[in-house]
Amino acid sequence: MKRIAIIFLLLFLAPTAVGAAAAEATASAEMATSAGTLSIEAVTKQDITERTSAVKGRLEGYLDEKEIGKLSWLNFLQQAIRQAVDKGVSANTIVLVLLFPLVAGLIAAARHLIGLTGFGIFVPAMLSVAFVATGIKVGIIMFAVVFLGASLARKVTERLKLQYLPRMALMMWLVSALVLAVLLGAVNINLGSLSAVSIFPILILMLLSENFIEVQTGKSRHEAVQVMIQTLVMAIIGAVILKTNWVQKLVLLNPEISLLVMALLDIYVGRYTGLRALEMWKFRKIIK
Amino acid sequence: MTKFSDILGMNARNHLYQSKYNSRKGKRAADSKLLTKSILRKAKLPAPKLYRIFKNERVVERFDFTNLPDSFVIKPSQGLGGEGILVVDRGGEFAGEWVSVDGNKLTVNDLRLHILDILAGKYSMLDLPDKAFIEERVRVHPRFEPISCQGTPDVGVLVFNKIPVMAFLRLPTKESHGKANMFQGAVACGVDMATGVTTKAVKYTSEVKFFPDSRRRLAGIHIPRWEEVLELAVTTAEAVGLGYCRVDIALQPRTTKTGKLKSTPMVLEVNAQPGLKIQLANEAGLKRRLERVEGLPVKTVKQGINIGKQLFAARDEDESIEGGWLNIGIFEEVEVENFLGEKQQIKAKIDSGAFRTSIDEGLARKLGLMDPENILWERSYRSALGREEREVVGVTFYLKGKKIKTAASVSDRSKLKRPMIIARRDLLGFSIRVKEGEAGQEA
Repeated sequence: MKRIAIIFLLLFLAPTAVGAAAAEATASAEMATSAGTLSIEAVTKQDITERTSAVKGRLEGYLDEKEIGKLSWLNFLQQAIRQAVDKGVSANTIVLVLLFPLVAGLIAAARHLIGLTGFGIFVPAMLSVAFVATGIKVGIIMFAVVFLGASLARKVTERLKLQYLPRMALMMWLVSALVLAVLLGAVNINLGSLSAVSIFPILILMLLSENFIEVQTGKSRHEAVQVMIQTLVMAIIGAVILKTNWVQKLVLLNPEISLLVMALLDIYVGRYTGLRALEMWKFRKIIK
Repeated sequence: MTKFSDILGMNARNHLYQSKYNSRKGKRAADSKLLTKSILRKAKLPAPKLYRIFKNERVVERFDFTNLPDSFVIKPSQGLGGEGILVVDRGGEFAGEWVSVDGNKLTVNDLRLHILDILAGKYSMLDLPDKAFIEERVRVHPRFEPISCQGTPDVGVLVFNKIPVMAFLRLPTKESHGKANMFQGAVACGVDMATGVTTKAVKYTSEVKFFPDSRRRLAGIHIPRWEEVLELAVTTAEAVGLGYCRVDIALQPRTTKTGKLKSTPMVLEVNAQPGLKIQLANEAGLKRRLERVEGLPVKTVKQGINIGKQLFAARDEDESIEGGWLNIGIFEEVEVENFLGEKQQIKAKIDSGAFRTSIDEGLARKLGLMDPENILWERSYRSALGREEREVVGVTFYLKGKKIKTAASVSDRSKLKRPMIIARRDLLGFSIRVKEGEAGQEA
């Protein structure tokens, strides 16, 4: 439910250009990702393209460098991508859309091959996209602020004994107030990049704070901290991958193969029935 | 011995066993304690008696708590990891007051509030509204009293394909606040499937030798009524319709009219998603065991139990390897320890009709068992010669490698072939089979 709500919210807030871009992207890249993901990508694209126009040029430069022959089964996506880029779709959007399944697949692999639990797939994936938009350092600061705000808000609202939704709303109020304070304060302590952050990553973080609160109420403190750290690590790794130049170049120039590899990775992870790395650690004592 | 490929991980559990062998219906039944209880009741399987179900707030307001017995348990139907369970130990000073196991005073209002919390979903998965119920409290079996704190220990038996595959005994500690959950700090002991005797013990993930609160040894504890526990586990798994599950069983002790202790195994809950730490407690890989019995055609419960006992015996003793029973004939050689602790071979007769083991006076003297310090008491009995006094002495002997320490009465058997009779008091765990040749033999 909440995911849909966030996606609609982002759609609503994003300028009209996003709609067109998303539609184009769907047409060009035959992806298994949902419309919601596309719009999120489109939104984050805005952040990146707005602030760093050099990125746009770089990715398009890659496209120009590589010669592709006639339309065939091996390059139909590349053809479509070039056509879309020529007509004005940002290469950045396309790259992020192409990389998103990779991030999702890696989060799944982190759960099933390594044993990191975290919060499912949605929270770390959203966080990594938010981190790409804000930059990792600023992203972590924002994350810490929101997380602290959420924890604090939980402590405060617990005493008031309110119903669930008003309680959540009050928590959001507190989180928003804290974020506002940080944004306003950042100007004074000369943390320019912090105050330059746009609304979307902040909104993503604030809406995720509900999940952060939930994990604190449902589990012991030790577990909650572990889940948070694991989620953060996954989100950072995801963000690093989304930002890495050579990875971007690789998927942009070989979209067919990279999509196929990602799908195969997902299937492999889904079929893997061996021990997870952390389980091996847990059971190491009974191995003789 | 154990390899990584022998160990069952989360992936294999979910993918290869849980989703394959557990029906949707069975999972739903296991998720709700109330549904499990009603299935058990229909199947006439023992479970703690249900006093009252609370489905909504109105029932809570109307319910008369003063009619409850002094000791009971309040549980959420779909609680997670033992959360939300309130154990009431005894009645308080006044009517309408109780004391919980951790010593807190509880009033009717406290109980109401707790039940309302449960109904609101405080302890359920995903904060969904839940049902609450009050049931009979299973007391701590006297055998487990020195090795448990506050709560009731339970035996978890993992059943797969009608075969009990692995088991552990969970002991609540002070640290776990009387809860028998491993992640809260309860101790888990691995259990030898053949005999029901504990082997190793772990707390969290590290091995422990002694119970943390009482410093008692954790290995070698015999779980009472092991045979019945296994049978109940397998029949419960069958009744609920789960091919792969863990059945948690507690032993409810009670004294019979004659003052003897008798315990009834009772099903506390069924878990369709059993944890994997049972492997740590048993120092054995579950995957290997599951692979060995997967697809075996098991016709009856008894057969399944026997397969489990034979395949998964954990100890090296013959008793364990032979599946919990040692076969003996009528005429056996035993090794008796003399006063120096040296073993001596002695011919003996097995007599299940006699109560107390007896030993020839001359032999006892020779072995040094008639030492005044070794005489336990004297017993008088009537015989053809009038009243006679007979000594009862402490004896330690080995039958089929099993050490038996007992009290034997001394009698004159000098004219008989076998100077010792092993009687039924010392024959627990043995199965007597009359061999060919013995049947026709007179003495």
